[in-house]
Amino acid sequence: MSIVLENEYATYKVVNGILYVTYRKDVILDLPAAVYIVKDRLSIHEGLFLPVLCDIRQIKEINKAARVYLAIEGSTLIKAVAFIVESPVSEMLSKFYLRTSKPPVPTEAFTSIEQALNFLKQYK
Amino acid sequence: MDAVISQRMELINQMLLEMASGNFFYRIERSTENDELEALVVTLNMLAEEIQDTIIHQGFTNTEKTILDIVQMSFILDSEGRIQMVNQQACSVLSYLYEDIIGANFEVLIAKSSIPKWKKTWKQIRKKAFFDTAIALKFKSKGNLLIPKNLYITTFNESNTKYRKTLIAVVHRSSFQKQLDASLKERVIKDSKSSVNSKNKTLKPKLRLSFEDIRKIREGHDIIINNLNKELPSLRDFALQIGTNEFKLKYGFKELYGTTVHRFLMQERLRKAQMMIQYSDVSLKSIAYRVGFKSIPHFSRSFKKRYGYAPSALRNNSISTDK
Repeated sequence: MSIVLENEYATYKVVNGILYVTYRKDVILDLPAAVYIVKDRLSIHEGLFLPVLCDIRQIKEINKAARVYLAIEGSTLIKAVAFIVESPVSEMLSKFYLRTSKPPVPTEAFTSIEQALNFLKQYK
Repeated sequence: MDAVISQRMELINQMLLEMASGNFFYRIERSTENDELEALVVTLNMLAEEIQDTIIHQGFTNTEKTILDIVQMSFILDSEGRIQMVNQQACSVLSYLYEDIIGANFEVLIAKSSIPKWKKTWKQIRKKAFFDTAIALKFKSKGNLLIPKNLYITTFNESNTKYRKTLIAVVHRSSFQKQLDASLKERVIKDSKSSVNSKNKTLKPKLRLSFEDIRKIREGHDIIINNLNKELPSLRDFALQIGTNEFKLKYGFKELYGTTVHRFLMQERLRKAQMMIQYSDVSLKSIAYRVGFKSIPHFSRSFKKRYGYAPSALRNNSISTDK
């Protein structure tokens, strides 16, 4: 099973019951962008709860309003989230988000996709 | 290479100095780098954002929703986009001299990343005789720090000369409480100078929350968010669970989040339900249970009261717009 969707901020695909969200290079997320992203993401869930692998390596910035929205509204229909980080910037983005916005679903950051999938496996 | 790094460090130091003196509206412009230093910049920008929000929020909670909007900066531009008038505060916020700003093109004050947006708006402004709009832009101070702001733009023709002019106003959000606090502080300090020994017991706040209290209340907040589907124990038991007492919980929660524990719980439950109704096909009945309601009528009633429409209306609307 593989469903693919793209917008100007990210690409989404579902493979083996895991939703892969890959953000594009240098995207800047503000509230309208966050609302748009969540709406597109939910449209491919088809009403199911899914674990999400979220590749944020290329994101440039997420502002406060977007962080708050992604943590609360953005966790709808999500079982767990694994962030993929690499650069110091993406690592700090994820640390800051986890620490201050405190998403209500299990969320962890990893530097390899393999580790991330391993973490998500328990929520499948 | 070293020169670039020291330039970036310089900006970070400058930003920290601004924050130390209470200015949380500045931001550092992002570079194309993706290194440790850039990570520090990202963190600093987000930190300023969080603090700025907290300060507004505190004002908000203390004053029962009275927020004071002050025009922080105002400009008048001529038909070519040159600055004809600027207020004094704008000069100090942007750290330019008055002489430097007058006659300069408005673009000089805007960050590179915002210039295309400004140009587009300016084009629109020129086309229409009478035009009102608001856009979000980033200003850039002389010290190269960014200031994200909403601009309110109005164009007009000067009545006798018919010259085309544009008025730009930038609003800064503060609170009446802050202003009251400032004037009170002034009075108290003056007062204590004249009578050093008099004790001002009445000026003490009713209750002071320690950092420990605040930490516990935040923990309570997180417990609520993560357990929306479960029944909340009595406030007394809930307070004990997080290691504080009922009075501090009630007072502190209001102080920190601007609402009562029960209202907050209701608000978060409905917020979650609203998303589930729109984007899942879980029945309304199970959504109600999943967000912690025990009866459907109670859920529907509370939902309608909060949003002004019934859950079923939202569900029907979401299904029809899907197709």
